[in-house]
Amino acid sequence: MSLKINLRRWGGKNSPYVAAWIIMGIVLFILLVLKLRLEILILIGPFIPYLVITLARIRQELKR
Amino acid sequence: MILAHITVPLILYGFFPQLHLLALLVGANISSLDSLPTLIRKRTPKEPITEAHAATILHTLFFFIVLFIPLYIFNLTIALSFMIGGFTHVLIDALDEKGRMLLYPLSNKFYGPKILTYDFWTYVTDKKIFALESALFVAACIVLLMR
Repeated sequence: MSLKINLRRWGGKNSPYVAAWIIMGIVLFILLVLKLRLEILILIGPFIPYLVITLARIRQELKR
Repeated sequence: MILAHITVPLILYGFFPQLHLLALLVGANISSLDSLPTLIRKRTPKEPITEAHAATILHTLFFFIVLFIPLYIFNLTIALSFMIGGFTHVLIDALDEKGRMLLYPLSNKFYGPKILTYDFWTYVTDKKIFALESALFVAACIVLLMR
């Protein structure tokens, strides 16, 4: 049993939340980069493949 | 929780500046590496609680206690910061309705107060959770700007 999420419809309906989460994430990331400088790569390095997979999945889903 | 895995360690760092920030943040996020099966799944399960994410050894306190020993030989501050960071991740995650294997390897049961939703889609649109995460975000930004 599985539940299919229509990402386009869900994103449109919840756009204020999506925008707020993205803004908070970006602000936090910028502040962390300013604090940690190059050491940030140790923190985000292992998650870069995860980010690529996620973005590819989102793109694929929005193309439908 | 989503941003809390970054914001809570940052707030802790604000209270205890002697901790090693990078080790604290790495410890607080390394558990998320077990989310790969969740990311590559084709569909969101109707019962997300049954999925593999957060049911691995990476989401146990035991994992961080074991890693503390080799890190302690290397550097006590880094070892302690890494363990505290890891504990915050597991304990924050234990707040959701799935709970976490807090007593692993003594027990494989999932423990926790079960007060937050586990499903991602519900989580990001829940007003109370959003308010909590936003408050933690503001506190973390203050810590980062003041230090």
